[in-house]
Amino acid sequence: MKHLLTLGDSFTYGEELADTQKAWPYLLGSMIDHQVINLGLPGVSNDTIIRSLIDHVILGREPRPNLVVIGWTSPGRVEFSDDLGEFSIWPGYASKRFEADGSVWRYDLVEYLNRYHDTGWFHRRWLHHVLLAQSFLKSQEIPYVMLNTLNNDYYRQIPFDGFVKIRDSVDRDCFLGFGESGMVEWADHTAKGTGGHFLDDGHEIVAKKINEHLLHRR
Amino acid sequence: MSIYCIGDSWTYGSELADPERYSWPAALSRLTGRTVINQGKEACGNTRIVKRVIDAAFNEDADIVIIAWTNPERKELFTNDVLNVWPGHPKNNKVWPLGYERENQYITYQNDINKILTTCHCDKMERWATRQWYRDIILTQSLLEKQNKKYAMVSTFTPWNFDEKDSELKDQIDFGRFIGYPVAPEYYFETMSSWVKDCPAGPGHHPLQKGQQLIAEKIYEYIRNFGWVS
Repeated sequence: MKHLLTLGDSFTYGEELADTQKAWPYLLGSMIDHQVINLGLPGVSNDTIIRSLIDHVILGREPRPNLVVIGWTSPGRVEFSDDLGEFSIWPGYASKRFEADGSVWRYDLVEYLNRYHDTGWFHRRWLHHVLLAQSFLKSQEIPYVMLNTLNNDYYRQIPFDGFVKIRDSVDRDCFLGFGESGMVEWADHTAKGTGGHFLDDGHEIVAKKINEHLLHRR
Repeated sequence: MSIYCIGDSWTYGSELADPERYSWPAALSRLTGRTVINQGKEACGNTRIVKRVIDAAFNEDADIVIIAWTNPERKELFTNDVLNVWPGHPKNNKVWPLGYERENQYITYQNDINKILTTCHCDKMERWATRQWYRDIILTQSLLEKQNKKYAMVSTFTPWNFDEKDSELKDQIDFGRFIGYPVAPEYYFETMSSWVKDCPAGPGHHPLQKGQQLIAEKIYEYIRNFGWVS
């Protein structure tokens, strides 16, 4: 049996679905006859995604994947750690709060990072994540597909030259919709939950789009 | 085709009278006869080092890349500019110098972030940061090899937070490219700071000219053994 490893945020996890087993990773797994290990989790950052990818592949916690699909989340999320474990903050989104007792500093961090953050810095970090993950998967000889949850196109506002070379170094043959669209755009016309997550029809669209890409690659 | 040296203040040459002349990258240039690009930056963390490694990996001019990793706990953030915070480090208790306020309206924020991250500094954070560093090493090694770049790595400071629980991750690192990695169980992990422990240092503990020369000679010997320089 072949194994599909998927990583991403709440849109990959299947938040707001009545049955998270109907999230796009499982639909895709069924289309390509792969058993699915879905590491998508609500609220995670791309730091967490990279960490989970490396640990899963290298530490061999589950069967080695035959295919990896990464649904990158917003570049603005940043991972921290404290005595209670890892957590991700999304600067600029004041609704993010933590409920763990004794973690008052998490609220302080959210407050300060809400006030000061820079999309250029975030976007560059994300491009670095992409390049590092691509070379890592190639070195491990694991086929992969990447896509965005949201189209990360605010690079258009960023003037500095260094970006162009880094962006042009991304392997776009394995990146669905790079610089153009992401899952949210593909499922834009479908029903959404109260939290803004697309529902069953949206997940179907995402799974089909990835499957079409894989068929085209063969 | 140049040698790119990436690191923190030890690579930059802080506290030297003339870093452009006496830093170890400059000394390495004299030893090898090659152009050396010093991309050391004071107070930077491994996040910035990874950025510069990626830039070098896609830069045709970079023939050899020398990476001098810094302390894993330095966290990069952004205020009006890139900010590196070192949680738990005694220097974090200082307030940014007077006068800096006039130029930097975000001074209060920077000091507060320092305090927050120092307050929640703990063993778990240290371990998380160290594991991040191991992953940074694994990722950059993959990238440099895929881009067919010659490279060598060294740790600037003593990696004092080796935890046996992290050995699985650490074991994935190609230590054949790590200058100073112990070749026998009885040897300890050499770092730049261990090489220069008997050399004169400035008030900020940065090695001065003699120590910088020694670092350059160690790195030169290593890359010459690979046949990358004569």
